[in-house]
Amino acid sequence: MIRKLKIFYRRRLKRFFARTFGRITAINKKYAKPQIEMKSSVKISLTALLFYLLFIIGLLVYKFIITII
Amino acid sequence: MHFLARLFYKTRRFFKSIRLFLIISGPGIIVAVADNDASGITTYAVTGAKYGYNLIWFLIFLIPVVYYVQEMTMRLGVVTKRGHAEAVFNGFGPFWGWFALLDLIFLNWLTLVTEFIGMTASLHIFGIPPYLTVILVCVILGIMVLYGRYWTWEKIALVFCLLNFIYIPAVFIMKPSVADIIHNGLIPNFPGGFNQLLLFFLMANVGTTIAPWMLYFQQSAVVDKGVKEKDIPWGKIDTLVGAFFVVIIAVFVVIFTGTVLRGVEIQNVAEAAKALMKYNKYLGAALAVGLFNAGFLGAICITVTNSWAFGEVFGWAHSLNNKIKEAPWFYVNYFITLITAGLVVLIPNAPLVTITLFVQVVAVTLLPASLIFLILLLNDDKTMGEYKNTKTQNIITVMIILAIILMATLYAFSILFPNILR
Repeated sequence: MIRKLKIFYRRRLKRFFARTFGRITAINKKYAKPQIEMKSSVKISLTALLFYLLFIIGLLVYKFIITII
Repeated sequence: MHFLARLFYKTRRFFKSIRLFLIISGPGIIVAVADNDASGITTYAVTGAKYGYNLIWFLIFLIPVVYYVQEMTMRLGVVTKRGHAEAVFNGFGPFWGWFALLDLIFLNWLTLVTEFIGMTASLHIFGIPPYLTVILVCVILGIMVLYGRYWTWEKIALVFCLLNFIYIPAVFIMKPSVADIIHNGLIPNFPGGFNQLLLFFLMANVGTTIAPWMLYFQQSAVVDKGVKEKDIPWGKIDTLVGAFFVVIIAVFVVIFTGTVLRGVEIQNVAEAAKALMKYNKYLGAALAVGLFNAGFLGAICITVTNSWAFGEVFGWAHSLNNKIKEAPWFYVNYFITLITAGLVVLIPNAPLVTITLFVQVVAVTLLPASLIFLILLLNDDKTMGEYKNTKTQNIITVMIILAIILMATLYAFSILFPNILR
């Protein structure tokens, strides 16, 4: 009985993850091409934002590590 | 006779305009007043206790900050008919879209935990145990979304917005010195000199005024409400009124604690309310009720923001006008966010102070990104057409955005590395 339940829920979980993954792939395909006109100002802003975020996340990780140590 | 007829029609047109404004208004006022959530009220209360009336002038500068950012959000939602999450996906592609969405969900959930912290702490003063507060809040918020449509939800939220003005009568009861308020509060000054602690308080006040969820909330709200392009002028007035309200409430909270708790070291509002109850039980109760209402208002907006954002991106039905059978995932997301955040507060020895500080830091990862996406979208011809930003709007908003990013970053630094700004 327990084994049957385990198989049942494992199949359901598999289907759930497959559906979710499929949905995520569909979203990525739908929005694959950015609609905004990629002028130089847009590219510079997004690049600056990327470096800023990497810096902030790096600081958070650094703080986390030194707190643990 | 001709004069009377003209007077009659002018009066009728005036009342018609008021009626139209009352119909269109809502998102701008709700988002701004809800911005004075539990952590916002705490920041203002601690500022008042520390510096008295001396930083009121700084709060007034926040009116244009709130207005310009939220007005852009409103315009973007009205023109694109998309929520902010979907607008980011559509404009910048899946990488930035997923970053914005997942960061928002995480940050909103943490912010919701801080709202529950505020609500449970405030009602605990009246002897209500935290688990009862959590159940009560979840039930009320559940009823608000399950019964009625967007309009009902909005009108109930506006009633709670009105309750946020409880500090105003409380201040009048205290009868503070108006001369002191004008002299110390309205003339720009840096009490004790411009030092690290003052900078920390200034940054905290800026950081609490613009939160990432506000952009997502207002944009989705105007879409759900069905605001059209011809209503943009009314949307601007709605946003401006909201910006005034947020600062008025902040000023009165500062005056409140600046009058009765000046020089008293307080870490949070619940502590302040308890201390104040020994001096005047009505004032203490007003502070506690105000804190609960602030947290509750924040919870009303944040829970629905998450569900809207998810629904927009995943293509689910995601309107408060949809019943539970029509939009099951919208409501599932709503209740999961709400209940899990409430349960965290009930965990014994949960690191609630750490969570509260952590929210400020995580906000720095999303706030600059949201503001940059906003201004880039508002300058895109394809997206905005005739409603794109003018040169003047760009100059003002870029300055505001850079200032917010700088302040928010320094604030996060000062939390992570307390000695770095010495």
